[in-house]
Amino acid sequence: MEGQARPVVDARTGRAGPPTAEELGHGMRFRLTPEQRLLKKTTREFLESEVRHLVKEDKHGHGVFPEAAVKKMQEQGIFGMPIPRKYGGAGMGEVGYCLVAEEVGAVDSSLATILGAHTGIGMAPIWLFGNEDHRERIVRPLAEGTALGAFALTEPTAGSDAARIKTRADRDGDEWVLNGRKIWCSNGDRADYILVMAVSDPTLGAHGGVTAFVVEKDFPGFQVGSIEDKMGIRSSSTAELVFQDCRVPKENVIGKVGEGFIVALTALDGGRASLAAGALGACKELLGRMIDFSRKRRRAGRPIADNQAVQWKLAELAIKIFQNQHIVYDTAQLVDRYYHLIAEGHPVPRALRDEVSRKCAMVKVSASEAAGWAIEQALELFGAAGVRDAWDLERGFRDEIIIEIFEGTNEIQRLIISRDLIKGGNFW
Amino acid sequence: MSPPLVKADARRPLVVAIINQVPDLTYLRIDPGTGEIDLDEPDRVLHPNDRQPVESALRVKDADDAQVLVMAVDRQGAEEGIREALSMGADEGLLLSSGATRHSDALARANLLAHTVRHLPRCDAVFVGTETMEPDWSTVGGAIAAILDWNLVPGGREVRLKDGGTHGVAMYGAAFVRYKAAGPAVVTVRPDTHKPRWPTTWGVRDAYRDRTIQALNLTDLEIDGRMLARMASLTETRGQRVVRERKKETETFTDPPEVSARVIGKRLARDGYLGGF
Repeated sequence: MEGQARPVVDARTGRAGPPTAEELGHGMRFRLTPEQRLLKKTTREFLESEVRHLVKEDKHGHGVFPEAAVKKMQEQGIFGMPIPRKYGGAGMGEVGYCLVAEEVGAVDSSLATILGAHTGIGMAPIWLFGNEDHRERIVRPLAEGTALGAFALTEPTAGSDAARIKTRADRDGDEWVLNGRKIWCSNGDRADYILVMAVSDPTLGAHGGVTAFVVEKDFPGFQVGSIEDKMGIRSSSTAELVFQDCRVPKENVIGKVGEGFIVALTALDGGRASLAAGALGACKELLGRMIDFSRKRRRAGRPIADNQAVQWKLAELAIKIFQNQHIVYDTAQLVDRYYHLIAEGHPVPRALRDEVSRKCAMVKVSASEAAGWAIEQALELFGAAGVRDAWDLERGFRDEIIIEIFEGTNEIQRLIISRDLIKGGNFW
Repeated sequence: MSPPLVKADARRPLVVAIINQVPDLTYLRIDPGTGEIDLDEPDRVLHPNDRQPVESALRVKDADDAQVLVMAVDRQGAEEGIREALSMGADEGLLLSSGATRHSDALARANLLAHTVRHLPRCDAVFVGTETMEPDWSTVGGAIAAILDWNLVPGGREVRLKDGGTHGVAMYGAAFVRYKAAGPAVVTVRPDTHKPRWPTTWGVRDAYRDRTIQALNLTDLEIDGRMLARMASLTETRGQRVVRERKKETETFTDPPEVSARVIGKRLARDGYLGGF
């Protein structure tokens, strides 16, 4: 009939319905594939049934590392998400990793931190910049869940200004000798393999003078120092690492000698995307709890959900979740493309590298601040009930604030974004 | 003719797990106007109780090096259900597509499933969940066993293969008894039998990228759709809706008897009381 749209029959359901944007050629693929939906669903069910009850916090002593939970997650394949199947991983890319990180973040920020330190910044750069021997010998056990990884960059005198690290690496025959101290190393005391940045040539500065090494936990000269007693994410362990004439075989150099800083920056970029996914999961968890509470909690004979002030909070958080969901997964797809080029040894355009850095910084700021905002709103909504341990909001408050600080403070992220814009980066 | 089960190795034991799928409750939508569940929601998942027959079959795989074939009758989202079972560790999927059985009853489905099992290169046991899809689904296992003339193991657990037969524990009445049966068996599995394994991330990936699902229709299986419809019991589920009582009407047919019979038959078929017209 003239002027009437042709009915389109859905290939899966056999039902007639209006054409989708994709069928009309206007689509931007923002929908999960059936594989990704199944991954998300099964991960959520697994975490709710098998892990949530294992995550406990000792508020008074040092945090309790959730060993049983981590082991179960390792056996489930959660610790090898982006690594290709042939190296023992799930082969589901950064998008698959972020989907899982989101679900883990919804359960516990400490677990999300352990997962992120292992996967995003500990293991992924070894896969990206390592050779076949590294991928078989080091990445495989990390991806298969039989070993734990970590990343060590920060030092007492070099935090946000990471280019100023002082840990030295001196060549001695077939070995390198490391001397120095690293702090704020998540998983540092638990890890089997730690990706460590050290100065191999002080005359060349960060670009050219820093090399990436994998230090194994039983290497002579390596020892774990003090464990941080933190305000939040207390179940993840944060360690000081001490290298005193620590001998590292030359086979454990990741990438080329002198190119460690690019390894570190790539690790941090990708890590920020998954960190944002974890914060997004925390936001979703909080929204679910806020809706539930506002329906049940009655004031003056009516549920507090009837109050506009409550409705605005819920709506505002839903908007933030909607925004972050799109930018996190759009960025994760970009990281996948970026990682593919690096892993396959293709040249990486500078513009792509800058775009990845900028967007990963953006999602880290956006999602972490959304999570921080969400927990404040949740506490206001819950009122006195929120400060009771039973709701876990008090713990969430201490946890979510930290996301704005670690893996590069949000202030530093804003500098990364603005500097790229000023130098002419394409802000689309 | 055997269906093209390309990967099944006739030298290794083969066990079948039969599954159903239901709407994903996580994303369940309720029509605020009517209060009814929106059954057009596209996401379908493996019925939670149907993880039981899959788990039982996988335990046989672990113990006896069997191959596990997951089988589902074509309904909306059947492929997702099979993929979830594959992600738990099953080897292959078989989707039986048939317009004639789309809304047919348990007996018709049992006939279709039994007919398909007969076409497999070999089959040592069939696992069917109880209390899964709808109340009558609990009868499917028994019906398959009767049609195939196989042993029926009700409420089976710890089932193993040995010397061409099965042995394990079965539930008779309220008692669990050890049993041993010669020849293949249909095992019905209750919802509380095992703690089903979780799909791993590797399993999810492999289920979508490495495992195959064969889609077979009635022609592939050499089944006459009209015959299958006649095999169905006289009761039929015709969707979930309230049927308004109609005013009784009398109609007189004045055409020759053979023409009138054809008209009446077509109307009955249209209304779902008869198949094959």
